[in-house]
Amino acid sequence: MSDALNPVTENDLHAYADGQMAADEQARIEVWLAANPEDAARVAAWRSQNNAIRDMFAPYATTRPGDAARVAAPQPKRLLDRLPMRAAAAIALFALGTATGLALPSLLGSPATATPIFEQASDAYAIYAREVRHPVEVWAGEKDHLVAWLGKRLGEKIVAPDLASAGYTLVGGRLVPVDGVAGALLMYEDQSGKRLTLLLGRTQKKTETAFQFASSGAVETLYWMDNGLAYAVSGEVSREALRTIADQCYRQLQPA
Amino acid sequence: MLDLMPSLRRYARSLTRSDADGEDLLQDSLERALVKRGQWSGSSLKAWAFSIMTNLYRNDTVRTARRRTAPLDEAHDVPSTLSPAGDPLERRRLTAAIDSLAPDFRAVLMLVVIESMSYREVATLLQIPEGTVMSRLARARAQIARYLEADNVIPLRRSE
Repeated sequence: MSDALNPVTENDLHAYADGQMAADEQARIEVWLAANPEDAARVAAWRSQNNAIRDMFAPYATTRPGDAARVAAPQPKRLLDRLPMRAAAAIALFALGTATGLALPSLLGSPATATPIFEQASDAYAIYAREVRHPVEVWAGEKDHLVAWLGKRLGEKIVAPDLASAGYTLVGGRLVPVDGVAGALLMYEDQSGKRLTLLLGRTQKKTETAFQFASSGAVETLYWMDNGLAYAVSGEVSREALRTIADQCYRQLQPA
Repeated sequence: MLDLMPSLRRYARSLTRSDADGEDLLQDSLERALVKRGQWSGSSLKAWAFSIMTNLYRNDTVRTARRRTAPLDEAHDVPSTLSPAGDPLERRRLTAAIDSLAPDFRAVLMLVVIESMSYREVATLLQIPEGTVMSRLARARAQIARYLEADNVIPLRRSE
């Protein structure tokens, strides 16, 4: 072996053994190895060492039951984290309105004089959720028809969010006036008969807001606006529970 | 991040040489990653997560340098459900050989061999020159080979 002319370095041999060489380089090394059995033996030894190490540690590359929760540790905050800009915008507008006294159009129900969406939502809940025989116009049995019909009147394709993970199933829905035009009210119920309503209404502007709470007696409402629609979830449940449910709705109502 | 969990767990185990310490390192790394996720540049999430783990491991080994040696017998406590193939004795010798490596050498070897990272990626991740990656890799391999040769006498000693 003429070391002075040696075109193949130690590093080349490692790179070859590790499969980190370009194809044309590989050919050069292979020619060299054919002529230098000692180096060929070293490369072979490294490769078998590599394989043995990989085999040895392969069983540790597992998932365990709690993994998803560990990776998603700050999940309760995720929903609000996703909306920092919207929240900031809402706060900025609010601050601007407060500071200047300008009659900015309400973010929550078009004209500033109109009944805010959260009041319409808690009223709708109060009126319809206690109805025993006629809580809805169209029952969940005709869900496809229900969402198609309400979506058509609303002028926006909608879905009835699946809230099974929160323990609620769809009862049905009805057409309701929201801000003077057609809106949709979907009703859900848990196994004990406790009800929730989800109100959807058109907004005049394509505003987006963060999630906001409002209380009216025992009825809690969480509402937001997104892409031309206002949403409000109402029920006699804790704010925490409501937030989980609103999170579900938000995700499922997101335009794809 | 969830997709990375198996390789992160494997890397943690390979660095710490014990299941319990590996899970601790994994947990610490996840927590650190979640806290610092605003600092993620948006490039390779894997490289970022691995560098967090490597740094935590390094910091930890500096602190616990004095009790860094693990008994041979405890060094191969693999999960029982998935026993790797191969001769148990050979595996034990290889485990001992890898355990004999200094932490920085072991990290390079694991990233190249198990995680199939390129030398350049490893250099970036460990913030060392590519030449240093090469020399550590070469020395790690040589040391393992020497250890395996020298270690041939162990079974005889044990059977005495």
